[in-house]
Amino acid sequence: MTDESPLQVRPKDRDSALSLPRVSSGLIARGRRDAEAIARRASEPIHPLSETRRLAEQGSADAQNSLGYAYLWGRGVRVDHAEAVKWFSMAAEQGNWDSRVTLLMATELAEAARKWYRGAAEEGNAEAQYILATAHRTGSGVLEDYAEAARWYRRAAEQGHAAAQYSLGGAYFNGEGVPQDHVQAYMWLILAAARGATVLVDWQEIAISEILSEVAEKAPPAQIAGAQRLARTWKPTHRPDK
Amino acid sequence: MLRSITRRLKPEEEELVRKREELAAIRATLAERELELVDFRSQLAAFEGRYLREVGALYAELDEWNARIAELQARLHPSSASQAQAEQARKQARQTYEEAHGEASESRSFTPSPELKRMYREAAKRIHPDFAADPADRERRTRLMADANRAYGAGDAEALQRILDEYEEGAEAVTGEGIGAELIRIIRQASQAKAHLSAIEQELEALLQSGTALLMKQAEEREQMGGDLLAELAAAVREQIRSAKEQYESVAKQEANCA
Repeated sequence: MTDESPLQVRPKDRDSALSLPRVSSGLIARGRRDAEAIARRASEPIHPLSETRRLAEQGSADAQNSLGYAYLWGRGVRVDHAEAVKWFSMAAEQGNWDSRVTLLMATELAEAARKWYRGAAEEGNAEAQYILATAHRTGSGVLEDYAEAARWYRRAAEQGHAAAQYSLGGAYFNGEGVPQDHVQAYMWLILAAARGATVLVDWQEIAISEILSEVAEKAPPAQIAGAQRLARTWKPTHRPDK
Repeated sequence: MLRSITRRLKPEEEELVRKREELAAIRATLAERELELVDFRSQLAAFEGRYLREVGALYAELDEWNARIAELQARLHPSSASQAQAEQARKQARQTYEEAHGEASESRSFTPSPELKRMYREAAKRIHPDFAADPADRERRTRLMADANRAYGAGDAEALQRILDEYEEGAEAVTGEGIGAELIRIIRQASQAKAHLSAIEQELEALLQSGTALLMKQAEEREQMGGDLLAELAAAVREQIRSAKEQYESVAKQEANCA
């Protein structure tokens, strides 16, 4: 409060006599922006995803942004980062600020992550090799490349990384990135099972040994025997080839 | 006064009576508008205080996390761009903290009693500097009006009563030097008061357009829809804080792995 009575000050001067704090104008503006978003969300009819998709396809940047999030977080659709990036990019091109920020952050983080994983994998970090391999197999953030995936799985598997051994087994079994070879596949499965490892199948943790016994029932006994022989002589290499 | 009832008034006397009535009406309006203004101002300040405490403080926390993330990123990937970004984020965090925890955040809600309002209205009507007889009187009224504003703002009825009493003892006994001089004085006062009224209108209009008033309006609209805007804002910012923390932790892990 000023000593001067605000009652007798002229309009222009009155402003300065106001007890209203002026300092928080930045925070007030920020609150108003966020409040508008809340009000908009509250007043919007809840679009089913198909409606959002229709609007997005018609070119609505807001809908494209929403669809991007749907794919990013798997809301109403399966998580699909490539789809998410596609819709975010379309919205960003139209000037949608939210999409731009999301893309930028995702790109920067992904770039940093790729760099780190690649470096660590080259240095022989088995966990990094396994993650890099999985990224290549699923095409998450890097090029989908089965051969590259198998190469990194092998380097981790040879160090005794159980999940990588299991995945490499799978690659041999299906001939993904390596020539199909069931004996090799069973060998890696036997090694992974021997480490007592588990894998997630449909969100359920299953012991690899359990999967192995299921597979072994259907496999020709000669192949299993050959794989067991190979597994017995296998030794982990702690310094992988460079 | 008795005489004026018992005998026919001269034209200038009739005019004087009319002008006095007019002035009284303007005084009443002016007092009412002053009260509205002072109430609106404190209502805004109280809302802003609540907003800063309930939401602003969270924005400050969010900006703090963002600054930490930017600083960590700058350490992980040193470049002039990441450095500048970190500095900018730190500056923003500091600024937000100061805004959120400044003096403005201490304003509490203000609900004057009807009695207090009545007294303020009375004071504004009687003491308003626009109705001063001479410069000395004006100065005295100005001082008293400032006291009255303070007393009202503090909800201090006793002080307001003392101000009214003090004024009562003072120079209500301004006697005119004939009807003509009295008329001129009243006309001048009325026109001053009218100018003042329009100034108040302008100020009210400006206040209504202020960010705080608009945010308060948004909150009222949200309330009519059954929502609580400040609580929803707080929840939204908390969510942002949560994901900023997660991001911070994941970047921190990267740094730890690199080390």
